[in-house]
Amino acid sequence: MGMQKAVIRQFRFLRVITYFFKRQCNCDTDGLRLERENPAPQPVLKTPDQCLSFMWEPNKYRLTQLNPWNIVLIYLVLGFLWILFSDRLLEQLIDDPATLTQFQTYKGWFYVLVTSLLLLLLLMRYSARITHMRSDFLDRLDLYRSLLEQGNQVVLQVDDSQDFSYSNAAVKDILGYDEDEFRCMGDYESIVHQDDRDRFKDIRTVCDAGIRNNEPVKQQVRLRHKNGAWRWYQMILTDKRGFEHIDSRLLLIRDIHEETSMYERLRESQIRFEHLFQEAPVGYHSFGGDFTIIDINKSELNLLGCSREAVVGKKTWADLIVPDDLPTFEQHKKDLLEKGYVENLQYTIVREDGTRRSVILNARAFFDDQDRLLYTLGNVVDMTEQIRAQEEIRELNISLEKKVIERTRDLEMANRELESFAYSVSHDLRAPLRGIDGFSQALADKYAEKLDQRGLQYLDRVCKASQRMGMLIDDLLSLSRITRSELEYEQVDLGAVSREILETLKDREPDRQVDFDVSGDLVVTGDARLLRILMQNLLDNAWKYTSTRDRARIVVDSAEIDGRKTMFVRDNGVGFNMKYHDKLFVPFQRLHSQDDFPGTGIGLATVQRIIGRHGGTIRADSKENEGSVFYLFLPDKSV
Amino acid sequence: MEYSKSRKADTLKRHILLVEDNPDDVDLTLMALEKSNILNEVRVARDGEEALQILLGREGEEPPELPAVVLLDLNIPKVNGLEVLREIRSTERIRRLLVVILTSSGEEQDILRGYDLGANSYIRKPVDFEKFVDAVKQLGLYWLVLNEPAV
Repeated sequence: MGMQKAVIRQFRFLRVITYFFKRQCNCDTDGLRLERENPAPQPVLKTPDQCLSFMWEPNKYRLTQLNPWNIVLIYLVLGFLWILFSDRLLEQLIDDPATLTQFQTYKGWFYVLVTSLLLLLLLMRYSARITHMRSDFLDRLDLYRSLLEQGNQVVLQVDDSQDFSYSNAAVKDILGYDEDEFRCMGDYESIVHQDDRDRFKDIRTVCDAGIRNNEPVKQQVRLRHKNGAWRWYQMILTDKRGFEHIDSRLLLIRDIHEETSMYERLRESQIRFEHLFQEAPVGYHSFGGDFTIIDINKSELNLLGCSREAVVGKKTWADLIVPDDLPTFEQHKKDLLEKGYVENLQYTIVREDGTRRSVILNARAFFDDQDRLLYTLGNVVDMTEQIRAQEEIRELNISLEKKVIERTRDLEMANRELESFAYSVSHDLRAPLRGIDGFSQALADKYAEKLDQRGLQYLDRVCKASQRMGMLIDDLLSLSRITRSELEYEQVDLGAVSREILETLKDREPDRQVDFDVSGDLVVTGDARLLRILMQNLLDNAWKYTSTRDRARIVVDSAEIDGRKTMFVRDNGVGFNMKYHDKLFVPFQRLHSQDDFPGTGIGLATVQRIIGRHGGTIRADSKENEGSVFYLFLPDKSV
Repeated sequence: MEYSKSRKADTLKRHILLVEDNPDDVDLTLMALEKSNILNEVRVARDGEEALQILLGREGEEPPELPAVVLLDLNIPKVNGLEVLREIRSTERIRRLLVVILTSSGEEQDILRGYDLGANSYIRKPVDFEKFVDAVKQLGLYWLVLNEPAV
């Protein structure tokens, strides 16, 4: 029974011991596990986060678990238990006092040996951990130093007397000053921009009073770089923590000039765009997914004649247009959702005051991932004035057309009057002339014996005068007929026509010696009847004015003059003085006396009128007593 | 042949109807006919209405003798020459009558309308009296001697 109890007690003792050991081992394994769980298990820590985690999480390394106090505590507990139980155990196992004493001596040695080994183990582990931590710490310290020195911000340590007790080398890169130069500058306010001095003073005040709520203080100020340029910097004032307490402050200065100026530029461009949006002479708006107006510019508000508040978020396009346009709007909405854009839509909008404007709308739609309409962007151009102007032009055109019709009618009426005048001239003026001529002749016939020679001469002159007047009237009529008749275009061979006319002339006066030369390309497009009258007049003249020549010569030919086909009629007749060239084509103007060459002076006027009606030109060249040439140009008209 | 001969002899005896309102022209025409040795009786109508009356006669009376030829001026009072011509051509009894338009007008439209309405000839009166006499002479020779009339 006693034996059994002793074994149980012994067993309990062992369990207590193993418990302590186990606890110790667990600590170790925990520590190892933590290191293994680290994403970068190398002894040199690489990222600042890992470095910092050492500072923020000191318990991670369980320093308290294996410090000298713990070692002593473990030693004390084990020693106490050994002294308490080892003697009693021996007493129970050994009865012989001599043997007992001997065993107790062994036990003493054994105890010293075991505790020494234990002590050695514990101290070795402790020392190893300390060494490991120290190397870690030194590594991290190097890292911080390099970060501090190579970083892109100035780090200044501000001590209680407001002096900078430390500055990093970045001050040279960022502000242009050497470290010492900067630390000894004294009057820092002088490099702060005038407008930003208040903000700088804020920082100083906070520096004096201490930082509240652990919140770093940030300010943006312009500082003068050593090269004289003003640049934007961000200043951050923060507490510097020592191991135990806040011992000083850190002032960080970062160059934010590029960001700031980019931001400034962005802001400027935003202002410009805003201005453009608002002031553009075109209306701009944006509709939301439900076609409610979500944004609108000033121009469109002016167009609508209402305030921003009255439309934004309240009205849709349908509220602004005339009811007649509503079905079209529905269709246009469908088009917009389908195509993503619509162009040149015509609408009539009703302004706040009830007046209407005609506008053109262009819009583009923007959708989300599920193809739901997010918003639209549209522009509106006021076309009222243009449409009004177009309308006016249309009306003007109509009235112009009316006027043209009226004028044409007037002209037609005048033409008809002229025609009836010509008719009465032909009819009524000729009758009395015939009377004069006829009765003069009757007088000469029947009463010749009662008149002396002079009286008969007078009668003859009366007859001649009336006959001449008859000719004049006839020529005048034929001239007016040329002006009035419609042109019928066809191909006419003026060569054939000329030959025919010349033959007729020759037949009439077979005694005259006249050479003809009709050659060259004389085919033209024109009214055959009028062109025949034209050639008749020209050749009659040529015939007439060569009558004084022993050998007359008449040439009809064509030549390329100024790059266009020109016909000419040349004779070797008496010609005319170019001085009177202007009078050549004037009706009834003659350059020769009636006695020398009879005529009415209407022939060349007729020629010119025929040429004019064909859109052509005629000009004459002559030398007195050497002959003359008439050049004809007829434009080529398709038949 | 016999028939024809008798007709031709008839033509020379029948009168000439001169439709002309201008007394000078009437006298000149008469003088010209005289000079051309055309000895037919000449009846003169001073306007279109009178001309038609002479040709058609009064209602209920015996139809008048037809002229050998009608010398018709166009510009005459009341019923103008072209209307007289149309009336002649549309009246059965006289529609084959010889009608010579003898006028001052040389207007193309007058000439065309004259022929359209069935004029047998169109002669423009020349201002020159000698030419006029010549024209009348030729006219008489042709229409009264050479031409075979239908009626």
